[in-house]
Parts: sequence; C-alpha cells; structure tokens
Amino acid sequence: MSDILLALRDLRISFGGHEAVKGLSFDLARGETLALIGESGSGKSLAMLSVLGLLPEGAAATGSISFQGAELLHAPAKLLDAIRGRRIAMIFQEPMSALDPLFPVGRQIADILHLRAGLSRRAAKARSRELIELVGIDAPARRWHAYPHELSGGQCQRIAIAMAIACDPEILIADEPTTALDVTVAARILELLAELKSRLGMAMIFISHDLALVGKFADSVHVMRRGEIVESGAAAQILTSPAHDYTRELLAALPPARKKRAAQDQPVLLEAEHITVTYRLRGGLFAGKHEIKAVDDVSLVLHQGRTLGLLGESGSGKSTLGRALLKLVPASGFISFEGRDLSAFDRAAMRPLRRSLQLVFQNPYGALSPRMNVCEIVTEGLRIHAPHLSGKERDARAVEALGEVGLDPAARFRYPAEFSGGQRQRIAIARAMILKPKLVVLDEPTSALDRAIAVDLLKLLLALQAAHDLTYVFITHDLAIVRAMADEIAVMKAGRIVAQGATETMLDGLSCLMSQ
Amino acid sequence: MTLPPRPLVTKPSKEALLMLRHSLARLAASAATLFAVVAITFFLMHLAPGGPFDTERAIDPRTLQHLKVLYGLDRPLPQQFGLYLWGLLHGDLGPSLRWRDFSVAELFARALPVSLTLGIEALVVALIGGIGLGLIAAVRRHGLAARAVGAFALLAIAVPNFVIAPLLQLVFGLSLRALPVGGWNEGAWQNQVLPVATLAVPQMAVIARLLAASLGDVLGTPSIRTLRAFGLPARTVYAHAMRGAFLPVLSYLGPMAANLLTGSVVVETVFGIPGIGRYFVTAALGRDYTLVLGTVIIVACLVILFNLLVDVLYGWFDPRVRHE
Amino acid sequence: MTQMETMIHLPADAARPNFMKKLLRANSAVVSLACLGILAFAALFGPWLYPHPYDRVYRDFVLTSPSLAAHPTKKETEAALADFAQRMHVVIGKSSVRKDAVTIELASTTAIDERVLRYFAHSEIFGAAHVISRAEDGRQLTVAVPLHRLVFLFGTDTNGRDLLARIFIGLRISLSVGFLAALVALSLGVAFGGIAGYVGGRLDLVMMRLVEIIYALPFLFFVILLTVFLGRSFVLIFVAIGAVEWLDMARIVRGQTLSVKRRDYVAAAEALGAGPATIFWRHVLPNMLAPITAFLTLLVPRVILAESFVSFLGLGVQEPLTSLGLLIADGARTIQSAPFLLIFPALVLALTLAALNILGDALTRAVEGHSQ
Repeated sequence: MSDILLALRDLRISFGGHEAVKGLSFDLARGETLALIGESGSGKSLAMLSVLGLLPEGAAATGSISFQGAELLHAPAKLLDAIRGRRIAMIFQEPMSALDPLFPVGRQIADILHLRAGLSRRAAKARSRELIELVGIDAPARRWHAYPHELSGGQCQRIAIAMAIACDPEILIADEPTTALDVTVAARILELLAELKSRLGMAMIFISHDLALVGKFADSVHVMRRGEIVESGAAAQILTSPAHDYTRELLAALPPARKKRAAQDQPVLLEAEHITVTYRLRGGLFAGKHEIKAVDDVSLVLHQGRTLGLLGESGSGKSTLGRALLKLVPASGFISFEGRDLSAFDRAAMRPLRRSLQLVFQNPYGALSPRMNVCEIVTEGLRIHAPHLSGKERDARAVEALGEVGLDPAARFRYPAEFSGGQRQRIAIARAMILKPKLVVLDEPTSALDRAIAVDLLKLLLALQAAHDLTYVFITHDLAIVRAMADEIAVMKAGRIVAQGATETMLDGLSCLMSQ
Repeated sequence: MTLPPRPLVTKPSKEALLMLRHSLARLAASAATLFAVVAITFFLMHLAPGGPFDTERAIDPRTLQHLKVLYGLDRPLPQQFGLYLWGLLHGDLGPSLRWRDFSVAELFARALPVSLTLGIEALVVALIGGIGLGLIAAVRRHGLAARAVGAFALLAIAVPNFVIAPLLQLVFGLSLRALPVGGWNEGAWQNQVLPVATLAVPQMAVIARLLAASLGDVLGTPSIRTLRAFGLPARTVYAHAMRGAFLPVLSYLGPMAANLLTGSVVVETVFGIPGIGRYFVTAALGRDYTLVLGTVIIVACLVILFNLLVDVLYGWFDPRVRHE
Repeated sequence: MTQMETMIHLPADAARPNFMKKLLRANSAVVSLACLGILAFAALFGPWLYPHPYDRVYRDFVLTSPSLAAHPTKKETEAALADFAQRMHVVIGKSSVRKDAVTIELASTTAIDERVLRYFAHSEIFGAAHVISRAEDGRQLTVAVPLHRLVFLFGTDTNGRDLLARIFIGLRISLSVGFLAALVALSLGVAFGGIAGYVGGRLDLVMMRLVEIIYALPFLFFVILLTVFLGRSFVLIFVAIGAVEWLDMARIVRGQTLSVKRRDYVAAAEALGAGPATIFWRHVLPNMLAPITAFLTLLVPRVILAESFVSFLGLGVQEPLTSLGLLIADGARTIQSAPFLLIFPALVLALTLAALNILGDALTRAVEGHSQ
C-alpha cells in the first residue's frame, strides 16, 4: 500500500462562469501535516469541501480526488457516507454555528459514535464523556448536557474536535479552526490539534490565511492565490526563503518596534480617573435586573503625540474603555481633556469637542453607511463642525483628506460597497482626520484585514501621527502590533487594568500574563 | 465582541424559581392585556352612536326607559363598566341585549363548541397537510413537486376564504351534490367537510410555504453541513433540520389561531353555521354590548392562551430562548 | 508627504450595487410589476374610457352572460318588440331585424298615436323611431327603429349593471384603500416603531406593551367594530384598516431601528458630534428604507384583503359604489344561476393579490441579498 493517503489532481471548481479553483494538485502522505494557505476567496475552503462532497449547490467540479485509490469526486453518496467522519473528518471555521444549537453538545458527539462508530447508546455516551475530557474541557459530565450557546467559542471548537476524532479518522481537515477565536484561545486550540495529531497518528490538512502561524507546525505548505497554487514546499523552506512575491507579501514584516521616546516633555492631553462603566441588563417589565461592570475603576493619562496600546482579550472591556474615554458611553469617574473637566458635560455639551476626539472602528464593513457616497461620509464631520463651508470647499477638503490616506480622490462619489476592507478603513480614517482631531481611539483597526494590507495601514497610521502630532489609543489583542505601535501599554482583564508601563519593559512579561 | 460564556445553572431549584417568577410575570401581563382589551372595546362601543334598542319603528320612550333601567344602561358609563367588570370577575358575562331570553353564557354554551370543533379540526388538517407539503417542497427543491407546492401556496394566498367557500359550495354542493351546501345539522361530518376545508386550505398553504423556506435555509446552515460531513444518515440530518425549521412555523401558530377565529366569521356566515363568528357580526350591528364584549373576551383569551402555548413550546424546542 | 506614492487604485469597473437592477433581474418581479401596471391603469382610466357607467342600470339586460357579442340579440329584440306591442296596444305585422336597426309594421284597430313611438327612445335597446310610411289613415305604420349596440364583456349583475364597469370601480376602491391604508400604517408604524427603537429603554418597553395589547384584539374584529361604530365611509375604512395593520409595521421598523442603531456608522456619526435627529434622518432611516419598502409591498395585499373581507360582510363601501369584496359577496349569492358574477371579481382580486405578493417576495429577497 502506498504512503499517499489523498491525492488531488487538477481539481477545478466553478460557479456559473466563474472558476474558483483552477487546477489544484497535491499529495497528502500518511501522518503528514499539510497547510493550505491563502487569503479569503482564494478557493482553499471550496477545494476541501469537495473532498467530502460537500460543495454548495451550483458548484461544478472536475479533476480527480483519490483517497487510497478510491475516487471521491462525483462518488456515489454511499461511498462518501462510508468515508465521511469515519476516515476523513472535518472541523470548520465558526465553531458556534457548526454545532446544532438545539441539541446538547454531548449528545451530538454520542450520535456520531452511535450512528457512525456503531457503539451502543450507553457506550456512546460514556465514550463521548471521555472525548470531551480528552479535548481539554473540564467537568465533562456536566458539559455533556450543555448547549452550544452555553459554551465559549474555544469550548465549542474543542467539542467539534472531539466529534472529528470520535471515529479515529485517517485524515483531519481543519478549515480555519482558529480564525474566529481570540489569539490566546487560538494558540491553545492549535496546541491541542498538534498534540492529538501526534497521539492519534492522523494526517492533517490545515487551511489558514496566516502563514506565519501555521508554518510552525506544518510539514509542507501550499500557498494559494485566486484558485491556483503559487508556491509549494517544505514549511521551513517557505517560511525562511519564500520564492514567490505573494508568499513574501503574506509574511510582510510589521513596522519595527517603537523607539523609546521621552514622556516628560509632552504635555498631558487627557487624564481619566476612576472610570467605571456599568451595564444594567433588564429582563422586562417584571423581571429582575442585574449589573455588569464592563470597565471597573480604571485610571490613565494620555500624553500629547504618544500612543497608548490597550491590550486585552475580547470581553475584557478595552473597547468600552476606549469609548468611555471619548464620553460615548455613560461612565462614572473623572475625565479632563486639555485641562478641562469633562465630567459634567452631557451629550449636547460634548458636541463641539467631538472634532478633537475621534474613533476608528474594527470592522470596516459596518463603519460606513452603505447609503452615502464616500464624499458624503468623509465630509460628515465638516457639516456638523464647519457648517459655514460651501459644498465646493467641503469637496476640496474631502479630496485633500482622501489623498492623505492614500486613496484616489476621483473615487469619492462611489459607495462603500465598491471598496475593499483596507480601502474602507482608509475612508474611515479620512473621515476622522478631516476634522484635524487631537485624540484618535483606534479600535482594532487592522484585525479584520489581511496581513499585507494591515501592515500598510499601520504604516499609514504612524505617518499620520508623525505629521499631525496625534495622540492614539490603540486597542488590540495582538502583541506584535502593539509592539510596533505603542509607546506605553496597558493590559486589561475583566474590566480592570492589570498591568501598565512602557512598551519595552512590559513586553517580556506580557506573553505569560496574556495566557493566564 | 463575544460575551463571556454563561455560567451553567447548577441548582435546579433556582431555575424552577426563575421559571415560576417568569410564569407569574407572564400571567400578570396577560391579565393586564385582557383588561385593556375589555376597556377599549367597552368604551369604544358605548361611545359610538346608536343603541341596542334602536329599531325600524320608533319605540315608546317609556318602554325604552324601562328597558334601559332593566339592563342598567341608564347608569353613568364608569359605573356600568365597574358593574360589568364585577360580573366578569364572578364569571358572569351578563344577559344578551338582543336575544333577550338568553344570557351571553348560554349563547356561548351552544355556539362555542361549534366554532372550537371547526377551528381545532382545521388546525390539525392545516398542520398535517402543511408540514407534509412543506417537506415535499424542501426535499425535492428543484422538482415539479416544489413548483406545484409553490403554486398552490400562492393560489391559497391570492384566493381568500370568502371566495373559496362559495366555490366549494358550487362544486361539491350544487354540481356534484356530494355534500350539503350549508347548515350544521348537529355536527354531522358531511356538514363539517366544506367549512373545515375553507378554514384549513389557506393556513395549510402558509405553513407549507414557511416550512419549505425555513427548511431550505436550515439545510444550508453550517450545523447541517457538519452532520453531513460526518456521514450521518439522511434521516438523522432531516430530523435535526426539521427541529430548527419548525421554529418559524411555531411562531406563526399564534397569529394563525387568530386567523382561524376570524376566518370563522366568513365560514359561519357563508355556510350558515351557528358559531360565535356569526353572532359577532349580528351582535356588533345590533349594538348588543354584552354579546360583543363576551365575544371579544373569548377571542382575546384564546389568542393570549395560544400565544402562551406557543411560547412554552418554543422554549421546549429551542434551548436558547429558555435562558432569556 | 509620501502617501500619494502608495495610492491605491480602484478597479475601473467596480460595479455599483444597483438594487433596482437586481430586482428587475427576477422575471417574476417584472411580470408582477407589469400586471400591477395594467391593473392600476384599469383602476385609474378604466371607468373613464369604458362606455358603461358603473351605476347605469339596464333593466332589459339583467344577468346577461358574459360574451363578446353585441346586445340586443335577435331574440332579445323580438322579445322586446312583443313587449312593446302589448304596451302600445298595437299588432306587429312584418318585422325585419338587421344588425343595427329594425323595420317594423305596426297595425291597430284605431289610428295609432305616433307619440307612443317615444317609448322606443326610452328603452335601452332602441333609439328614436321614425316613421317611414303611413297607411290606412294611420292605422298602419311602417317604422324604422335604430338599435343600440351594447357589449357586456363580463355580463351584467342582478340589477342589470355592467360587471366590467363595476369591476373597474371596485378595483379603484380596493387599490386606493390598499395604498391609503398602507400609507396610514406606514406613517404610524415608522413614527411609533422608530421612536420606540431609537429612544429605547423604558419608553420602548411601554410602547411595545401597548402594541402587544392591540395585538390581542383580533384584528379583523377590531376593523368590524370600528366600521360598525364609526360609520361606513370610504375614509373611515382605510383609516380603520390602517389603524389595525400598523402594528406589524411598527414592530418591523423598531427591529430595524434597533439593528441599524447598533451599527458602527451610527456610532461614528455620534463620535463626529451629530445630534439625535440628524442621526435618525441621515443615518438610520435611509438604511432601513429597503426592508420597509419590501414589507410595505406585502402589507398592501393584506390591507386589500382586509377591505374585501369587511366589504364581503357588508360593512364596507355602500352601493352604488362597490369594491372587489362587495362584488364577490354579490356573486356568492347568485353562484348557482350566474357563477361568472363571482368568478370575474375573484379573478381580478386574485391577480392583484398574487402580483403584489410576488413583487413583495422578490423585493424581500433582493433586500436580503443586498444587505449581505
């Protein structure tokens, strides 16, 4: 028997007239970990769905997928069903939605054991408990009865992994298993997968957009772009000496770490003391209410022209703190801006000050109104703060602002839907910059972007800061980015700042702190 | 931003307590709703022109006064309202002002079973037929069956029950002479077929359409893809999908109850069936205050009850709402 | 500044998402739009272009079957002549019925008073008669009487009124009630739902509880109550129906407002310092127009149906005005002798409802596809 488990030859998948996968070929050997790398839309997920005959309706595939000599492409459902789950298993990107929300997670594992591995109901239940424990979830007997919505994303992905290894498959296909998860959770899921792989001796196909992340534990890497493989080879070789331009782009280096700059000679721009944001959850007219402290007694000082990196996992309260500093969410505590006490300012009183305090959001797709064109979006602030400007003057300012963020001003009468994620983020930055703000809160501005584009955007932000003496609050969960951007770092956990200091001194101790 | 995972409920007693509290809150809200419905109907009716004793010929003023005193209509309106509520609390719906030998309760004792029989039969027929057709349409998504079900659904939506009813009369009653054209005949099954069909067919079509659409959606979700990726048998996949796909149908059942009840106005009028729907129109036209109020209360109670039932079922079907 | 060097160029053909284009790509939407166009034209101009007034009673043509042929037919003419002879106490000798006129010989025992010929002109069948020749001292007349040529495409009703003319006017009433009531529902719903959703908090809770209460009133019962107690004028009907049907609209608008309010672009407008009114009008409302339009398209047939239902029960507009529901009710009463009186109005109503529903569904799909 040959050592090749799975062989793809000239696999082509098309939707209508559009060819999404253009002649994909590779071999997967027993026990090998193969990484399929590419940005969203490169066709990598489609190719893997076709292995199990799960292509969405309307997709047509040609070529060959051979699994130990058996042809899987257009194979009869019976043959596919015999292989699905038992010999080739798959886990998906969104762990929450991949599980059935209406059934307890334990039952979903037990169902597979009962129906696919032929265990009795009782044995399946016992084995499913063991599997839950195996994938590192505590209190498996109790979690067995939990529904997906009662578990975190990481826990759901662990359950999905338990389902996948339930029948001891020969191949595990993981479709971006960590993309929807927090960085620290993602790292632990990767560890789990690597450990299970070595323990169970299965081969693995790992689909990802993050070459740097996956390269570490893959044996071979195939880089895909627009449906084609542009570069293949051993992981070590591709990581160290990428041959193709696109591969190099995927590995694009971040800007270098921030040089230490003196804080003393910079005036204080904003000072916040004892900031607390409380959310009241109400159940209804008769139900009781309870409170959640999203930000709990936080104090910090921002110096003109410097960047504070706000680091924390999702749910740690860092976004809420960012908005509380701009008085966009009701908060208790004391805030002074340029020496003025803002504590007593209500919404209306804050309005004139808004031109100095700006915000850039994480998701570039939601931050621009789809019904307004770029020019209207960018000049929205001018309509409010400089109503005396004529339409012509506003237009001139829009051209200037778009040019400054590296966008072609000729495109200003188009609508947001026509722009890519990175371009939209630039539009959002132009909208903030047109008012010549002093403080900009950047709420994970690059986390939704592909790496090469994110790096360009970070460089743009650094250039803008230098040009206009801007003060940034940079919210992120990414240590590498905060190193490149921040002068100071504050780490948040459960609404509190648990550590604070200059970037250089902080970074060493940080990695262990984050993974606690 | 994802929320931190909800803590698992450890003590069942605490959950039971919460459930009890929730149920009590719902009950109180329902009572408040019912009160508001009674108040709105009562004052709207009494403030409208005309009265229950208006007839073609002018009535003797002394007789009129006598009647008014007899039924308490001479008192100030708030007092009448109070008296009515007081009676209501004791389960007394008052005397009918039009059928003067009967109390409203007596009229209902005869009419309500008739309407309920038709309504429940129609509900069962609509559910069974609708689920069957919806399943066929969803499973054979691109086949002739799906198109046929789609056309049927559109037809049932475009042809209202007051058209269906006379057409059924024409075909089965007058042309084929297979079934009686109308009447109740002490609930003989022959008399029930056409009214139930009239009530059930449009609802059946809506259910089929809803189920086909939501089953189509659910079958395309990642969680169903997961089941297929594990090679689970089609029966299991559909069982999972049906549970999720049934939720929109379930939420439609509340409004559907109201639809069946209002549909009965037409059906009872066309087929000459002595149910509450027919009473309602005559009572409203004749300003029979107590009978109208009684009907509105009954119908509102049924609607509220049905919505409660649907909520309970929804919680049973979908664990996500149990925690909200 | 070096940023201009890193200028990002857009693909020249970046397709601008066009909602209407997307909608018109669906055949069903185009067909139903065309259908609605024809129906709207018929409702607007039908009564004006069509020769028969909707309230004109043709006593001689009660319950005429629908046909393309002109009336009176030969048989009807002869029957009408016999009727005349009896009333005028004359004997009809020879008569010849041609397509557009009859020539008859009248005979009597006494001299015929020619004024009786005026009776011809009073009927719907004949025009003004004129005498061709007189004989036997006026006891015998040869008269030429022109015939009217009437076409009742869809037949006539029990009162002898042309059904097509009544369908035109009924369609006009039904469609206008549909659109006006939908407008009432739209304004009430947008105002109520918008405020509840945008302001939120306790106000939202109270407002939505109110909606829930009105929901518990079975809605068509409520319409019946309103029309019975407040009168049966055209205005009241659409106000009553609109006042009942706005509840769903309010819920939809509130839901949309809540979801749009959570979008980052609304937060961005707030961060720019825009006031609540600006945010609602410039950012929230435009972004929920599409789903509102789609829902409105599905609301119109529901309103038309509600109006037909009320009319069917005899609580809607009053004779001689009519609506599709009223025509259907009339048709249902004569279903044994003249089923066409039910079938034609029912067909027109079904066509209207189907076209609106298909269009609404297509719009909803387009909106869903658009927002993705």
